Amino acid sequence: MKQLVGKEIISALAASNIEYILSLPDITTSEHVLKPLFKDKRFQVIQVCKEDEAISISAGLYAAGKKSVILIQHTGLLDSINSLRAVSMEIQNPSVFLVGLLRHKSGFDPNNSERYGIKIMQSILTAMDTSFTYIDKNGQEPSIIPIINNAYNNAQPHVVLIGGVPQE
Amino acid sequence: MKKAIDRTDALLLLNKSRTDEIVVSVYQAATTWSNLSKSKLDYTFTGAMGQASSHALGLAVGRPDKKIIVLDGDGSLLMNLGSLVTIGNIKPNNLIHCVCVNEIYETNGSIPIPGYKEGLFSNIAKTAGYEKCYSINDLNEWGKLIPIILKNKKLTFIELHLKPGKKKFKDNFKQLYSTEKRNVFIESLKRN
Repeated sequence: MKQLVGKEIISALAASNIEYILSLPDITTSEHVLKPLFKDKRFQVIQVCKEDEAISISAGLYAAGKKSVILIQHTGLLDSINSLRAVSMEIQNPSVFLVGLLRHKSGFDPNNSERYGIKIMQSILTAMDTSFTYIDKNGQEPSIIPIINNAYNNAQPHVVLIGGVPQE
Repeated sequence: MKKAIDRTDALLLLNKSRTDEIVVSVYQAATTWSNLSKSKLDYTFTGAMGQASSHALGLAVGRPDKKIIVLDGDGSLLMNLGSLVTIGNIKPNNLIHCVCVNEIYETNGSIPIPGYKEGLFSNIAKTAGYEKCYSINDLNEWGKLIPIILKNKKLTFIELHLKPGKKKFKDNFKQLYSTEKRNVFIESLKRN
């Protein structure tokens, strides 16, 4: 199985007219997604101190007519459940998350992970009625484009769970 | 009791000078403000406690042509202190971050907030990169400061010492957080 490719994830963001990346470094995506994004003039990276800030910044940007994605680690999403509940779900903001599953290996079902935080992730999102997609191999990167478009067209959040370290 | 301004008086003065600025407000400030202001550029749908400054940062970055005023709470800001660093790092020159200090969680039973000391927030804000920082507890001083901060193009922080207004307004968080109200805001902002 071929690994996800960082450049192809970034191309999908550009094709979706994303202008802002709201991020706190995530081991899964730091090297080949976040670092190149800092250098890419098509995007402005806004670094946050805590992940729930990103959800609210994204809502403010949306109200101002701008598109963003939230690039974080699954532990940060767990820490931001109340903002996901209130800002994204209840008020209906198109928060699009790219969430790295910390130390999860592609090709393995996260629901069977030995890591508790990864194992519960999809169950929590299901319980919250938050739509999500799991990607872990090359060829799945373009699926981010309709996900972003649908989120913004319907003012609904979507979580993309990234199950492997994207390659260069 | 420490010197503080009646909340309704303080917000009435601000509302009198406000033209087309976006005002983001929370809890008691939002309840009072929504009874004073008739503008469709009022943003109250912050959802989760502490998040006002982050919503405001998104608005400030997304609409650099508009001035954004945040009426934050002290208990609220304690829940999102990192946002001062995030905002100070971006340094939007169209953001006025006003924290309404009453030293209590007024909406949640008037329990004191932990560890407040005069200048706590403005000292952090200044170190984080806010360019202008003020502490105000007098209505006349507040009245003099309003036109200055509305005109300045500097990232501004104000520790505004308030006490509950003589006039009481009823909380209506369902209305403050309404998605329909948010949609009206978005449409109004497109035209402004």
